[in-house]
Amino acid sequence: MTLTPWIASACVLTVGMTICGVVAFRRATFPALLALELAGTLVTLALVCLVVGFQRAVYGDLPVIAAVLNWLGSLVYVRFLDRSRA
Amino acid sequence: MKSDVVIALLSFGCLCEAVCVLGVVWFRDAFDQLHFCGAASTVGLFSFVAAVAVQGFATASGTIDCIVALFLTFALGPVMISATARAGRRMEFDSLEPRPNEYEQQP
Repeated sequence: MTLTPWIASACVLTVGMTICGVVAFRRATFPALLALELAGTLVTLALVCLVVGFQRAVYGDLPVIAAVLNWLGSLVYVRFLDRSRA
Repeated sequence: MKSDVVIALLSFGCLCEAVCVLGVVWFRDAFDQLHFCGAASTVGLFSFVAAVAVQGFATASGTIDCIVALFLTFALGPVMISATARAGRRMEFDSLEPRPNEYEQQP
């Protein structure tokens, strides 16, 4: 396997994602949610990079599903945080 | 030439995302971090869209899928960030209304 620019970008984004995971683990609830949301965005970008890097068009649905589920999941977290305050 | 453009676009996109990650790590105030979190789904994203459009696939469906995924991230990201900001504001200050000292800080 050769290291194309796409795979290298996916690696960089994965490192960023790992850092966000550490931040989400160590900080308070609200900043942790922000780190989680940023990690979700990075996951979508990394999946796009992998799909293009390996030239597998059949996996093109993965980043679409990841983008939608990240959005829905974050909104559910936000809703529960709002409720837990009351 | 095409690969040079792709490398430049991907490098710029990764740099933007790295700045966003560093902003979330560096800033202690959650409302400062919110700006970096929102920027991740706007600035660097277009660089990735352009790179996908330049590189492309043998079939159009893969390119369209990837661009749709990036467009969804761009379109839905601000909704998520606004909802998070509102929830955070309520968590921190119990209200969305500005406090009296915030009126005074206005120019």
